[in-house]
Amino acid sequence: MPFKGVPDFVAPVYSNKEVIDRVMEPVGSSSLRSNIFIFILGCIALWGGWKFWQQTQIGMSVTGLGSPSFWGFYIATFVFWIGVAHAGALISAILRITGAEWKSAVTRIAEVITLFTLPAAASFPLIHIGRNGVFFFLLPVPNWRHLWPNFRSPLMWDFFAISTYLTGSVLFLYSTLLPDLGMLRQRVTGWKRTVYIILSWGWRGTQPEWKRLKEAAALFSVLILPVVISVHTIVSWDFAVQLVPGWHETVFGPYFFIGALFSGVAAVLTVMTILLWTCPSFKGLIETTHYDYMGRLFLVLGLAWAYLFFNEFIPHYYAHDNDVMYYFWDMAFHHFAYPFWIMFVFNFVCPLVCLSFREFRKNIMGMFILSIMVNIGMYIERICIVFGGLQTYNNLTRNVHFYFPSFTECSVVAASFAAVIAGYILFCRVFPILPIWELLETKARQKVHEVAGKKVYYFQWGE
Amino acid sequence: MTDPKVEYQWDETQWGMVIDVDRCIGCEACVVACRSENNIPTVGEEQAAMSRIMDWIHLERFYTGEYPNVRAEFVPMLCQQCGNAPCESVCPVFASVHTNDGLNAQVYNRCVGTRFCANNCPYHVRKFNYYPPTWQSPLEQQLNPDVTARKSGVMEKCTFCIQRIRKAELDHRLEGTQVSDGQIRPACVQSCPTEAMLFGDLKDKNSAVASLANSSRSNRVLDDLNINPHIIYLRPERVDNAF
Repeated sequence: MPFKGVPDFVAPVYSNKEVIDRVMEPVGSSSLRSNIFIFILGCIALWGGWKFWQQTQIGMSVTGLGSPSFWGFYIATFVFWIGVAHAGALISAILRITGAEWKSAVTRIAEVITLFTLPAAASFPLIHIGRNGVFFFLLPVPNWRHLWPNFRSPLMWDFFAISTYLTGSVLFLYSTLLPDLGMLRQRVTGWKRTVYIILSWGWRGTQPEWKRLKEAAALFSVLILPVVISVHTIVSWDFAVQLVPGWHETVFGPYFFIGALFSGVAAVLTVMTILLWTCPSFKGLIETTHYDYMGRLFLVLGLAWAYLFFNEFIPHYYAHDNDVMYYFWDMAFHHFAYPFWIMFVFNFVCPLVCLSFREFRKNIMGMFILSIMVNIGMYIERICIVFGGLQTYNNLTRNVHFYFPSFTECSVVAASFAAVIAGYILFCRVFPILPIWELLETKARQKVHEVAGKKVYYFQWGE
Repeated sequence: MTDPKVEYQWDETQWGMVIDVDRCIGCEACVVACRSENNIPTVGEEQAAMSRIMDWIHLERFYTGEYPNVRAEFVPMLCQQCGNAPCESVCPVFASVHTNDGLNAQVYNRCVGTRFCANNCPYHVRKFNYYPPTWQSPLEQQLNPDVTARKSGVMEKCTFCIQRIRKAELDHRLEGTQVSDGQIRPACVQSCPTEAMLFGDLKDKNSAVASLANSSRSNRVLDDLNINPHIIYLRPERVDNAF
């Protein structure tokens, strides 16, 4: 039992060389099983690409859309991917700022999720538009007509928010990757060595280099926070600026933001567990303590999400807003009753009950299942908002158009999932997925005190 | 060239329409006229069942009373040419823009098909081309050459038959005269057998539409959204207003 106020986190017990070896083990390795898996994922991605090509040739009639459901599965998936992409910056930035010593096992896992899910998210608004060939009309590129995009449109804000976030998080990830690339450079030969030399930008590990790296990491973690907040708030404004009942709400900004963080943490837990199971060498580097701390963060975000979730309903209930109450009724008791209550259990009941117990938070299998459940629940939430809001939206004769995604839409969405997973696996084969230098730094900072015959671990700051 | 320093002046014109709901008999002649005037493609039964019908004007039906004393009210619903249009502010590429004479224009060539405007239109009068437009066999021979062609993936909607407005304006400019009230008639107004619809300049105090717009029966659909629609409905006198 640790002392009060002293974290019960202990740095990896391995020696420095062992830590490096263990993290480097998956780098450059491949097995028949994973190759077959990547091949299957590639086939799914190609199939989705082919269906998308068909969509560009035939028209949007291959989707299930129709008035008033002009937005559908693509936009719901866009919001879902943006939410998952929120893992990266939150985990790294917040944990860096607060100086949490246990962060090193999860920061890069989270950042790489952003690296792959954010482009997947950004592609969906472009997949969903009617004329995919002229998507550049949406971008503020110079043109001979001197036409600028409409800066009053939230889609325009989306473009700026997402591109800023992508640039920032890629730079964040890459700058913290440099020392590890330098380390990796020494371990390989031939053309691989040349590649890593180029990628590591000649990192030598001198004192000024470390200083600059530390400064850059500190600066990024502060600067990226407003970007994180802006990205999903702006995604929520895509909905909140519209007159659709159930969308036209001021609470949507924080609601979407917290929802994104909630699903982002869930995604990190999922990936963490899969890495722990597929790479046996990570045992001891990712421990149940990490699950405990991540579980606490998860619980806080779950509570915040639940608060905003109910906050969405209650003001409209008090205001007797008929249109919105009809939308809520349709969601909770009519067309969307099953998904809605599944979401309620997955996102509210289960996390709240399970995560309250330390024993559960330290149970890897339980946390894995819960993280999958929360992400399914969050996906359902986005689907309920996008499908449900529009289906019931008819101010005049209140006709309901039943939208159901077509095979093409499902194929393209499946392709995005396949591409993200395949990209992640390939990244793990090329780059170390745990930040070695941060693990070693944590290890070096750790000091031990003997108090009353018990060992107390604490972390020393400074160089 | 206009001096950019001079503050922009809106034109003296604000095109608008008055629809007398009492006079509407629900014959849908306006729908047919609109189709033939504006080259609206036919979609067929299957696509119509998926709510992909392309009509720029449709009839909203409201039933009042208990059987057997049921009454139907027909409300022709077309683009309301809102002064404060929700569709315009959300279009990222300025495809949905306001013209000087108060029309809510749609620039088809600029549209990329985000369908943001259609989501934000509370009247559901914006129509999306889900596939390249097609016409059933004899219909392709009566296409109107004055109307801009639309392609797959763009949004389209009622333009108040802008081709007729522009033609009348140009003709009168050549002759040096003014467009008189009631001279421009969009296809739906022209075809209405009961003269339930009336088109004109709402800013012109002497026009027929302006005087009807000030009547005690005048009403605008979903006016509480503060979007300033420019179609005035004269509510039925016999029953409580249906909308």
